[in-house]
Amino acid sequence: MRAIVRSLFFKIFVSFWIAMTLISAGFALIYVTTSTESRWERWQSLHFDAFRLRVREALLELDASDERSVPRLLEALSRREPLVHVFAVTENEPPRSDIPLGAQNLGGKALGSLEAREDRGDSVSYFAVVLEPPFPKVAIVEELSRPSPVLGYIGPDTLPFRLLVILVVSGLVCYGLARQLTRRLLAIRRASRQLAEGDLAVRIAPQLGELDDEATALARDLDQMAERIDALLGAQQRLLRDVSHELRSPLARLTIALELARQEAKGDAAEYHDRIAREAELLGQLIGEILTLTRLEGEAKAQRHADALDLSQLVREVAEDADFEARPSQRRVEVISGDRITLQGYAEILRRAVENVVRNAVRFAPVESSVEVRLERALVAGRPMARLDVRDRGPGVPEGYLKEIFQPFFRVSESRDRRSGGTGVGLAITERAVRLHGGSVMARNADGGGLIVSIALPIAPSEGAPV
Amino acid sequence: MESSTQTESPVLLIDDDEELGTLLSRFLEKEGFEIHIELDGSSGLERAQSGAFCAVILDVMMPGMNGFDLLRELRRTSNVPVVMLTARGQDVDRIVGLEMGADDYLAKPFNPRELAARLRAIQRRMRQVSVASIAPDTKRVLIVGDVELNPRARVVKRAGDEVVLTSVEFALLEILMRAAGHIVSREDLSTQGLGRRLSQSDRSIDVHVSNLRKKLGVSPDGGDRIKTVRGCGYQYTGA
Repeated sequence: MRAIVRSLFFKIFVSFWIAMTLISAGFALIYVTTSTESRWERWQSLHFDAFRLRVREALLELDASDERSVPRLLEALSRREPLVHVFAVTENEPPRSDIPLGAQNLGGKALGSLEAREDRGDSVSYFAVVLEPPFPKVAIVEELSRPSPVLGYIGPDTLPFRLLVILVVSGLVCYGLARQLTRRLLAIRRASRQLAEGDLAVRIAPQLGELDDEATALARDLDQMAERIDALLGAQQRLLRDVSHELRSPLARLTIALELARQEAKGDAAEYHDRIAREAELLGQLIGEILTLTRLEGEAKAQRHADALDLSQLVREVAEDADFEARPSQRRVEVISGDRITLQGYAEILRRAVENVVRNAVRFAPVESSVEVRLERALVAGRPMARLDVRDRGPGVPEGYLKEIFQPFFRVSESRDRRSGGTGVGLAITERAVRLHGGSVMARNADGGGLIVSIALPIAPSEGAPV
Repeated sequence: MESSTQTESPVLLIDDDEELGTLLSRFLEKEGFEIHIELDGSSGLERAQSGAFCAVILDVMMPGMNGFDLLRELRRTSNVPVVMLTARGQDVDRIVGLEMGADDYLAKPFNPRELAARLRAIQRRMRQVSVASIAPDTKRVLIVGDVELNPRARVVKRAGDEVVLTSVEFALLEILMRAAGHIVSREDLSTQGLGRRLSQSDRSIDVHVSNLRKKLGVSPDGGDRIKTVRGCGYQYTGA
C-alpha cells in the first residue's frame, strides 16, 4: 500500500483528479448560486413568451367562424405540449369543476385586460391569453407546475448529481492520463532492470510504440547507452578471448618442446622441467577458464543445450571425484543430503559450476576436515528451487568481500589465494553458469566458522515432482 | 614408459600450426610413431581417406574446413580411429566431436606424453583384433538377442544387417556384450575400452555409449539394449 501511495502513478493521478474536481466543482457552484427563485422566474417568462407565440401561430390556421375552433385550438396546444394543462375560460360562465379555480380566476381577470399572469405560491403558476376578434372572447389559460424541490437535488441537472458525474468522469480521465504517463515509465523501468541484470540485448524504444515524447527520448538514450555498453563489453570479451586463443598455440608448442627437452636431458634438470610443466599447466588451465567464462558471458540463455538432467547424480559424481582428489591431503568431501532432483539444464556447464564451488571449498578446508555438500528442495520467493549448499570449515571470507568473490580474478588476500592455487576464475564461472540457468549464487559465513556457498536453481514445476 | 621401437603403420596429423606439427612429430617419432603432417583440411581429408594410416590426430580449429567438417566427411567412408585436439574451455567441442564419431580427444595445450599414450591405446585395440584372428577360440562370435558381434571380422550385425561402428564403439560393445546381464563400471569400460584411466569429470564413455545406443536402436521388445545403472555403470540387457 505504501508503495502504491509513493508511486509516481498515484501522485499524478490524485493531483490531477483533485485539480480537475475542484475546477469543475467551482463552475458548478457558480452556476448554482444564481438563486433558484430567479431561475424559476426566468423559466416562467421564457415559457409564457413561447406560449403566446404558439397561440398566435395556431390561430392563423383556424377559421374564426367555425364554432369548434376553440376546442381545436386547445387540442392543438395540448398536443404540442402534453405536459402543460390548457383551459378555455369564457365570459359569464359558472365556475367549472374540471378547471382549477386559479385558472378560472385568472381567465376571468384576463378577459378584462387581454393578458394576465399569476404566480400561485411556489408550485404552480398560470398564464392567460385572450383570443382577439374575430375569435370569440375566450381566455386560454396555461398551467405551469414548478419542478418539485426534491427533484432539485437528485435530478440529472442538479448539484450533487453533477458533482458525482464530475468526480467519476474526471477520475476516469485522470486515471487514463496518469496510466498513460506512467505506463511508459514502467516499461522503461522494466527494460532498464533487464539491462541492469546483464541482458544487454534489450531495447526499450521499440516497446513504447509510435508516440514520440520525452519518455521515448529517454528510452532512446537508454538504448544507446545499452548499445554502447554492449559494444564495449563485447570488445573486452573479444580481446580476452583472442588473447587467450593466441596464448594457447605458443603454450601448446612450449609443452611439446618441454617434453622434447626432457627426452634429450634424460633425467637431468628434472626438477626444473617439472616446474616448467607445472607452470605451463597452470597457464593452460587459466586460459581454458577465461575462455569458458567469456563463452558463458556471450551466451544469453542456456536453453540451447538444455536437457533434462539429474542434478542429484551430478552433484554426487562431482563430490565423489573431489573426495577422491582431496583424500591424499587428508580432507574429505561428504554429501550430507541429496534430494533426488531433476531439472532442465546444460549438464556440462552445471557440472563446471558445482565442481568449481566444491574444489574451492576443498582448497580452503583445513587438514582433517570435511567439506559438506547438501542438495535440497526449497521454496525461494514461492518458486520451487534446488538449493545446493557447500560448506567448508576454513577461514571464511571477510563480510565485505562475500559478493566480490564471484568476480573474476578477485582475491581476498594476495598471498593466501596464490598459495591455495586457484586461478581466480572458478567462482566467476559458477556465478555466470548459474545465472544462465535462471538461478542465483551467494556466499555467507557459517555460524561455526567456514564459508557456505549456496546455489539456487529453479526447478520447472513439471519436473519438480518427487520420485 | 613403454617405448616401443617397432614402427607401427603411420599416424596422420592434421593441424594448421606447422611449428607445432614439427615439434610433435619429432616427439612422437622418438616415442616410436611415424608421423605425417597435413596443414589444411581438404588435403588432410584426402590422405585420411586413403587408408594408409592407423590413426588420425585432428585439430578442431582450422581455417577453411574445420575439424568437425572433416570428421563428418571422413566418417562417411572410413572408420580410421580419430583423436581430436579440441580447445580447452570449449567443452562442447569434445562432446560434439565424440558424438560425430571421434574415438578420443585431448584439450590443447596437451601433454604430448598423454597423446602418445592415447595413440598406443588405439594401436593396442587394433592389435587385439589381429591377435584375435590368430587365436580364434578366445574370440568367438558373440550373439545376444538379435545382435551379433564378430571380433575377428570386426563386424556387428543387428537382425542380419551390418551396423557400422568406430573402433572405440566396437571395443565398448564387445566388453558390454561379453558381460551381458552384468553391470560394467564406467572405470572398467574406460580402462579396457579406451585404454586409459577414467579422469574426473570425463564424459567420453557416456557419449560413446549414447552413440552405440543410437546406432543399435531399441531392442525388439522396445526396451533399451544398454541400460544406465545410475552411479555405477552400464549393463547390456538380456543374456
